[in-house]
Amino acid sequence: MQRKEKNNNFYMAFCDDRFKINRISVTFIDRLEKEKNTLNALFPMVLIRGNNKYKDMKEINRFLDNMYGATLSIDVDKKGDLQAISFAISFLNDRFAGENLYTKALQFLHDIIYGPIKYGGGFEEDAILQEKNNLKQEIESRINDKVQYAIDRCIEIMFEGQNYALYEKGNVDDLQTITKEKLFSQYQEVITKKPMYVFVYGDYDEEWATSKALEIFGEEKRESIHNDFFVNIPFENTRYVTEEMEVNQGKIALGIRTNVDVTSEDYYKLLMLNGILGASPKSKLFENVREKASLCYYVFSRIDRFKSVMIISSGIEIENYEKALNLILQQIEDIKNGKIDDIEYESAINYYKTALMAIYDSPRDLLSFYLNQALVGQIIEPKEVFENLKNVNIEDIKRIANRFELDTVYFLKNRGVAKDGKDL
Amino acid sequence: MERIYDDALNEEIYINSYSNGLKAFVIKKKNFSKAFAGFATKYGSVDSKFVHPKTKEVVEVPDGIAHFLEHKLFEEEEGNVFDRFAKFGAMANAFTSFKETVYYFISTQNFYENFEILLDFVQNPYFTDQNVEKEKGIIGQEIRMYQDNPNWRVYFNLLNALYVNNPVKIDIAGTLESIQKITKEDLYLCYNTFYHPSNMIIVVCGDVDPKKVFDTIERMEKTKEYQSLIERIYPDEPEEVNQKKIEARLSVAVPIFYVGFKDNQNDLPPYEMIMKDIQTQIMAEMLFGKSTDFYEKLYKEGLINQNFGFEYNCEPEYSFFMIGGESKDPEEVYRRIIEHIEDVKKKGIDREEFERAKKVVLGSHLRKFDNPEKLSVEFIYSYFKGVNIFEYVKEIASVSFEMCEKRLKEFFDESLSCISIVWPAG
Repeated sequence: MQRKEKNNNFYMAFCDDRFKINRISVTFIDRLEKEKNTLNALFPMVLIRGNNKYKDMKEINRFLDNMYGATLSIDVDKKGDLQAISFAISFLNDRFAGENLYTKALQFLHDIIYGPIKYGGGFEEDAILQEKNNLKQEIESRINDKVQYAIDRCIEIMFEGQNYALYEKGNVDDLQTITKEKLFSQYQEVITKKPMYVFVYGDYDEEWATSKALEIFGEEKRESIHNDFFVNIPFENTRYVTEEMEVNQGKIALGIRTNVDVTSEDYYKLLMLNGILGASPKSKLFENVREKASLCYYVFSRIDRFKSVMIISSGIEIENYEKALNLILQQIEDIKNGKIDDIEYESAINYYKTALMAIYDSPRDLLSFYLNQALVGQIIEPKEVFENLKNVNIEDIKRIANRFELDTVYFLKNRGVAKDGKDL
Repeated sequence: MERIYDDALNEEIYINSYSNGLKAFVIKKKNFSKAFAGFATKYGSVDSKFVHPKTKEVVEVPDGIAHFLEHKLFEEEEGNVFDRFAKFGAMANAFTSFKETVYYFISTQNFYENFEILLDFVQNPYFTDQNVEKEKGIIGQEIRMYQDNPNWRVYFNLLNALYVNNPVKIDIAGTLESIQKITKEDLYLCYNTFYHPSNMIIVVCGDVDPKKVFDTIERMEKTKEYQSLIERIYPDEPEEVNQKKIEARLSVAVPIFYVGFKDNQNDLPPYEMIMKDIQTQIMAEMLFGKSTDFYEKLYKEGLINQNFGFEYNCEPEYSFFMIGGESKDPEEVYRRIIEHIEDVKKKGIDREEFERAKKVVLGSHLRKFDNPEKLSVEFIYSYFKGVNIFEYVKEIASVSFEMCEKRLKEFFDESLSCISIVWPAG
């Protein structure tokens, strides 16, 4: 691994000859705030509509096609109170392409991101208008995936009024107020002033790959932005919220404040707890809510490292709400009382070992793993994470569980009489 | 043990055959940390009517039984098999598709211990009236979950519009009603028929020792005698589509749609099937790919967005092409697709576009080799339809411009197309 850090520019390169596809990713980090989250979600969509070098989408896509079907992807993500705006290209290893594609891919990505400035010009009015419409559709389409929708709503309710409640892709009302000028100025601000992470994975010499990336992307001074990992409002009572939609299956989502400093050693204890509760194949939730009580098909727990929050999610028969909720809460109680058997513990540790070691086999996963590490301010390898997990004992887990506060219970149920989404 | 090294792909594969008809494959992936092992049977949701290999009687079982069996095989007298995998740190799972059921694990440690567990549990069914009943609750929730999934709905509705009789149109998990009918006896009957080694393969992908893998299989194989081929009964399928249009309402923001084209040129010899598959993929890329004028125009008109895409399914019993995504006006997109095809058929295709499309298709096939799970699953799919995934990359180069011209003339027929739409509810 080759790593260069200066002026809040991060460069990392990984060399490996096992893969047929290489990857370059460029991520900018901004604060997740109401005034700009929609702008930050919109500008990447406008960027891939073209600039003066690649005048439209067709030219961009022809370039990619000629790179043996390279793919360009943009992504906007929430990392605690931060918004991550990413551009990535994956392209064929030179050995199979028979030509050097790395410099071409790097330059292309730079042209896409900096094109409107470099090739003299702002954004095209039509492209903005259309991408506004596409983004509107995307935001509204959140209801299509009911599992994720219930989780998102739970977080929104839990963090009402705080930045973390904001949706990473923005909101429809703010879209209306976006002007060409506002968008361009926010775009410029992000790509020239905000922290930048350039990560490269490929069948190349690491030093050479880093120097090429540096040559093209540079390292001008950028702002530094810090994350707040905690839920910073006092806990009062558990909130119970029920909403209705036309669904066949009820979705339950629990938002738990873990009160764990995720930059401390306690994070690993929390991870183990999560494995035992609802992440591993023999987790308490899976065993007791699904296998024994036959109440659901899926049930899991998940940690958002950037905000010390745990989410539990399941899909259940609507009339089984109370039963399922009680059974889920019982599993947490059991952990609080240290009721953890060997197989549950072993399953969790083994689950993490496999999951962490598997990261090495996917350039995409590895790059995103390191980005998250960098954002938390601790760059350690997947195998080191595992080493830390091995030291966690039952007492540690029990102690962590006793810090839990159940903040929000969200339930999505059917509207009035059960409608079956009947075919017309 | 046979070894094949593909120089162009830089991939190595080992093959072993057993006297009871089982075949095993090891795709060697040097220096990978994880290994995948899959135990697959050529048995999926479409196989609900067949001739029993021993009694020679025609048997018909409830819809969703292959999937039900998949769930139940994880159960053991002592609990469930996850206990054993958990001990050795594997992530085990299974899936059922139209034509196959695959049990697998991924591990980064204790590969051979985990492998033995896989071989053992797939060969040891344990069904009781009680555990079969219990599973109906879980699968019932799985079915309900999919009912709320608009992408699933629009997909199966399309298959229902394309096919009159072919069982590919039936939901893989069956229905809330059909699973109620499933009994322990049905499960044993299907298990004993379709889980015979002669109907199964094992695929391992990772940095493992092929000889040790093959020896473990030899040692663990329970069934020794050979079974004759299973005769599967498929209903006759008319050439035409079942209905031109199918619609539903669900909680979605923007209408979701698929346009389907029925391909009646099925049951081809393996090589011809590969060629048909590749030609269709290249044609589709040339007609509807992201670098086409067609895509650009519809996108700019706001008729489609980045979710617009297509896929081609090519099997000996059924083949279909589907294209779609989200649109405020799905019917207009359908009209444009048909109009565009007619236009290209008239004007002919472009050589430069053909070369570019070929590169895209080549790249997308090469991509599959980087992920042991995806590669193994692709391998299984192809193997059961009688072709080898390694052949695809070689054959892409041999596809000519003229072949694609011919394919365009034969396929993408308006009269064999239909549309499935999910409209926003309320």
